[in-house]
Amino acid sequence: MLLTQPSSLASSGSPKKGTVLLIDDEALILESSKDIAELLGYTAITANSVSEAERILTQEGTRTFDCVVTDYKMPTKTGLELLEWLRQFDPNLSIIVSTGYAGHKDVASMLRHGALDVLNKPVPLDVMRIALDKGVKKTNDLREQNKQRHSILQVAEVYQYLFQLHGVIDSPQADMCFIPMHQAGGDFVIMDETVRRRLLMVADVSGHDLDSAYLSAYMQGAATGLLKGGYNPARLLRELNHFLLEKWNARGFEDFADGVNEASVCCLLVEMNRSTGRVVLHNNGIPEPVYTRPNGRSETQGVRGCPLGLYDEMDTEVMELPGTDGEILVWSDGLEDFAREVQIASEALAYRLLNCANRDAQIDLLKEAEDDVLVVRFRLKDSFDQFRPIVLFEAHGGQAKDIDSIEDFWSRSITYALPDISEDALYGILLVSREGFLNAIRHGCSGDPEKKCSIQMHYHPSFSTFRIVISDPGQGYDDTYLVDEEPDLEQERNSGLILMRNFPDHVNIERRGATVIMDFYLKKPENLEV
Amino acid sequence: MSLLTFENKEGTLTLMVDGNVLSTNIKALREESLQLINGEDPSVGPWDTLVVDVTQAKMIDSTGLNFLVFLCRFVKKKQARMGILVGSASVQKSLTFVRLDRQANITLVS
Repeated sequence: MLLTQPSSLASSGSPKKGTVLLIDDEALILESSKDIAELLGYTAITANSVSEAERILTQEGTRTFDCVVTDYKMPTKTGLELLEWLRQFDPNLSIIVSTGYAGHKDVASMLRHGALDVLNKPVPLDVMRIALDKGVKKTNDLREQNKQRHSILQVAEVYQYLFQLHGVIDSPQADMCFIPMHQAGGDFVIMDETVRRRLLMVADVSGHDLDSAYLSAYMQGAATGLLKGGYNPARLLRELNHFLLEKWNARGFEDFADGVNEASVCCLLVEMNRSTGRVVLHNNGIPEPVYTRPNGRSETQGVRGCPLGLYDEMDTEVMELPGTDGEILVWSDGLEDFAREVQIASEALAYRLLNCANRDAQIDLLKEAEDDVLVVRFRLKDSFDQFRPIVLFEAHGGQAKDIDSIEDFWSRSITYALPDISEDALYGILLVSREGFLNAIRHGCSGDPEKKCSIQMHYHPSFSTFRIVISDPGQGYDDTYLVDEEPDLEQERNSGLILMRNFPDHVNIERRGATVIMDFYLKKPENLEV
Repeated sequence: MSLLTFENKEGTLTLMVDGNVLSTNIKALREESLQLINGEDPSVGPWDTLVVDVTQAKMIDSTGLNFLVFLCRFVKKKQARMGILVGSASVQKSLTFVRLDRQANITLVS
């Protein structure tokens, strides 16, 4: 028998603390529970059986209620059956089971099926108060989280739309991978092109919440509008910095529960003059971009500068690119952090991500990442393939002792970027890299920790060519050492040079051997996709 | 920790190297080998053939190759014979580049 009609819900006043559904087959206990719940400030609806409760929940909707308290042992259906039934329709609604009979196994089973708590009958007033308060709060928290998740998914849709709107996805000028940590994030990319210039803007808004996503969406719109209105990069950056300092960060953020009170934006603008080919970078806090020439030489460009939104005085790093063709590789902090986590070069991770067949493959690679990951490859001229960086590595003259761990790092990076590389090719690449780099450390740097040498590994996907370039600050030595034909077994020291001459498919030297270039022609992998 | 184990079977002394042969472990490897082949260790016994088993080595760098060349010269002076067991074609290729195939029998153990 239904003791309190659900229709009374419509006419009753607003519940003070929430609405609870009480189920028990014993009328006196049910009535007593109702009195207690109402005394505690809740609106109480009652049902004398599981079937009756199911009918009420179906008719009124589970969202009418903030907590369910059910007896365990009842004729025909038990509280556990109600629990299982309700979980299918509303996993967020808290259920508390009260029982006078259940043993340990029953209690464990109820908790395993999602009961928030199991109370012993009769339930004292203070125990009921704690249980109901906890149950209602849990329901509200879960519903709020669900609502936020839904909002984030909506923002994510807007995000994808904005990327398409700003011409980055499917642009022949750029390749991009953006995987936010929570469906939507604070990173964004804009490409803008006029008759006179081509422009790329990469930005990373601090934080990972909806607030960051909204700020990011706003800034995308504002930046796009200002660029269309003729603003140059310096003026645009000033305007955005002013907005962040004077408007966004001036809000009453200190009231927010999460304590967020400042937003900053890292931002890189790449502006190419289409008539001269001159490229200028304006960097406020984005990791230093990598500029790669078509022949497989890369340079890290400038320093980061200071993010926008922190100071009136802007500290923008402005520099001109030392070339007019090739590619620029830009990534956000999240990519560097994840590369460090999996102990590979950032370039290797960027290469692999930009080579993925689809977004799902990118998401799969980054499932352990703890930050938004954004990487963009921007072509300065209309060519599609060239040498691309896999490892850019520097060491000083005192690091000969570290060569084993350095070689492991190269090995992990190469196999991550090119998962289909053959064991033979990898062996040759690692062997000559080790030999050449040890020569650079010991001889080129004379073992001096103040001197630095570098190794760069690039891959040309169309030519299936893996290029290694090792450079040191030394004077070089005999130009002919790489064309010596007969090894001298009495001279043990030339074995490394023999390996460097014979393993690669092509070897060249510059600066009398202070720079060595070794090419391996890899058989074109059938499938580079993840 | 020892990088080498050995076995002398009827005058064939086999040195089994446990791992890579690289610049970072060559000093210890060279010292251990010398103790075994120059008669300092009485448990080794007489031998006329030296087999170096580097099948566990995924990589042998130039200092490792130089070490093998050194062993070849040592064996040659002793007027004994030498063999090298390798575990990969890539390692075999390295040995061939420095003409070790002319100094010793190289066998690829797959």
